Amino acid sequence: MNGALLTVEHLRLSQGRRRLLDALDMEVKAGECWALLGRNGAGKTTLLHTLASIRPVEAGSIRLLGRHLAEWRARERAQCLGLLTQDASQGFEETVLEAALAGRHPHLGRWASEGIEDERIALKALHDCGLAGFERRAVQSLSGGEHRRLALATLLTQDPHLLLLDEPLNHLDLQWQWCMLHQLRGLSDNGRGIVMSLHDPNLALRFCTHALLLDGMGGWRSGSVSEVITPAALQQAYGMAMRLIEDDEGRWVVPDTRKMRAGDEAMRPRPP
Amino acid sequence: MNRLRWRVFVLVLLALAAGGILVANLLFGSSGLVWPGAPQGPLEQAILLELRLPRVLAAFAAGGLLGLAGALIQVLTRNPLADPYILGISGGAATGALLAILFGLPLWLQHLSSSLSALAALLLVIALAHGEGAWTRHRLLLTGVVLAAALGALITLLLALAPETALRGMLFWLMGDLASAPAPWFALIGLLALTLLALPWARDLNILTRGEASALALGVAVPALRWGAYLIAAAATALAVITAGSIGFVGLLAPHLARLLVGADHRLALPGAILLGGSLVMLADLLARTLIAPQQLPAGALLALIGAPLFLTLLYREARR
Repeated sequence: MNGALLTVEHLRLSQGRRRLLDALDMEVKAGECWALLGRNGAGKTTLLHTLASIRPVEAGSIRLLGRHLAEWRARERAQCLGLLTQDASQGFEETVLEAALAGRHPHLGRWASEGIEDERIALKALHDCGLAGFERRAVQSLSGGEHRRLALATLLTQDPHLLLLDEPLNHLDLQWQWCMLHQLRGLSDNGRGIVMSLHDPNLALRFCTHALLLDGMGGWRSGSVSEVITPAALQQAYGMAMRLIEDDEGRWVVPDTRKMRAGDEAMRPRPP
Repeated sequence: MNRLRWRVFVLVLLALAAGGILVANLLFGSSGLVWPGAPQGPLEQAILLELRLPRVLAAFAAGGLLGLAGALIQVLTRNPLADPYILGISGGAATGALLAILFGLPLWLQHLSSSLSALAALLLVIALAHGEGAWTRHRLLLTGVVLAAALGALITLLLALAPETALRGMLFWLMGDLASAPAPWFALIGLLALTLLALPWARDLNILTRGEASALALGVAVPALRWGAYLIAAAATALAVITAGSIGFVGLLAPHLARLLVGADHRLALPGAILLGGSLVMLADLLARTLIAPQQLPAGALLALIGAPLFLTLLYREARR
C-alpha cells in the first residue's frame, strides 16, 4: 500500500447558504496521520461525512483508492473506509461484544454470521481500548468515556484502510487520549491512513504527520503539522494570541497570555 | 457463544409453546372439548377441521404478521415503543375496511379497500416525514401519531354515521375479531414470504438501530433497506388487519418481549417476535372463545386487556434496571 488512499480535488462544502470550504485539494497516503483542525462549526464534521460518502459531494471529486466514491458499492467501501461518528449512538440493548462485532458487518456476506476469527478481532480491539472483561456488559451501563472507547473499538474491529474519526478524544481522560492517539499513530505507521478532527493542536503536533486547518469561510491550509500548526495560523483560525514553546522534547503552541495582558484588544479570546 | 446457544434454545422453546397453544386452540372451544383420540362423529370432525383449525391458523398468522411489522417499525423509528398503530398504518386499514362495510361492499372488496388504505396511510406518513438527518425519525413518529389521531376521529365519525345494521360488524371489526377470518392460507403464505424476505436483512437491521450515519459508514444500503422494511411492515400490517381486524398491542408487545427473551439481535429477535405475536393472538382467541362460552368475546379487546398491564410491568421493570 504505497499510493494515495484518498484523493480530494476541488471539493466544495456548504451548510445551508454558508460556504464552509472552497476548492479543497488533499491527498491522504498510506502511512499518513492527518489532524483536522478548526473552530466549532468550521465544517470538520461536514468534511468527514462527505469523505465517508454519507453526504453527497457538492462540487469537486473524491477518490478512494483511485475510484470515485460514488462508484463504490456500500459494503466494499466500508471494508476500505471507516468512520467514527461524533456521537456514536448505540442500538437496542446490546452487549459490549455485540456492539464491537458490528464492525465486522461489511466483511460478512449476506448469509454469513460472525465466526471465531471475527470474535477474535473484536476481542483484541476491546482489549486495546481497555474494555477487556466488559464483553457481556450492557452498552447502556457504560460511562461516557467507556462508550467512546467502545465506538473506537468498533472502528478498530471494522479494520479499514482509511480511518476517519470525528473527535475521537471526546469524553476520554488524559491517559486514554494519549493511549488512543498512540495506537492510532501506530496504525498509520503500519500503512493505514487516518484523518481525525482534534481540538488540541499540541496533540496534533505530537501524534500527527499532517494537518488541515479550516477557517470555516472557505479557506484552508494543509501540509505537514509543523507547517500548518504555527502561532500565526492558529491565531487567525481561533482569534486568540498564540505563541510557540520549543525545547528538545518537542514543540507546543499555547495561548499567549502576555500579549493578552498587554491590553491588545484584538489578541484577547473573544466570541467570533 | 454459550449465550447464543441459550438464546437459540429459548427460540426453540417459543416455537414449542406456539405449537402447544395451537393444539390447545384445537382442543378447546365454545362447543366444549374435542379430543382427537376419542371416537368422533362428523360434527366433531367438522368443528375441528373446518372451524377451529382455520381459525387458529388465522390467529397465528395475524399475530405473527403484527409481530414482524412491529419489530421492523421499531427499527425504522429507532424507538422500541413504536408499532403499526403509532404510524397510522392500522388506522388507515381500519378506515378503509369500515368504509367498505358502510357501503355494503362484498368481503373481498373490504379486504382490498383496507389493504390499499393501509398502504396509502404509510405512503402519506413517509411523504410527510421525508427529510434529512436526525429529524427524520422524530418527524416520522410525530407524523404517524397525528395521522393515527386524525384517522381515529374519522373512524368515530364513520361509526356515528353508520346505520344500526352495519354497526355491530364494524365494532367487532374494530375490536379485532377472528370469527369472520377468511381462509388462513393467504395470511400464512404471506407471513412466510415476508419473513423470508426480511430475515436475510436482519443483520443490516441491527446496524440500522445504531443510527443512519453509523449504518452508512458500516456499508448498509440505508435508503433501500428503509424502503424495504417500510413496505414489508405495511404489507404485513395490511394482511394482519384483513385476517383479524384491528388487534392492538401485539405489534408493540411481541417484539419487546422477544428482545427481552432472545436479545436484540434481529436474526433471533425477528423470529422471536413472530412466534410470540402468533402465540399471543392464539392465546387471546382461546380465551375469547372459552371464557364465557358459548358467547364469544372480541380477541383484540382481550389482548389489549392482557397486554396493557403486561407491557406496563415490563416498562416499569426496565426503568428500575
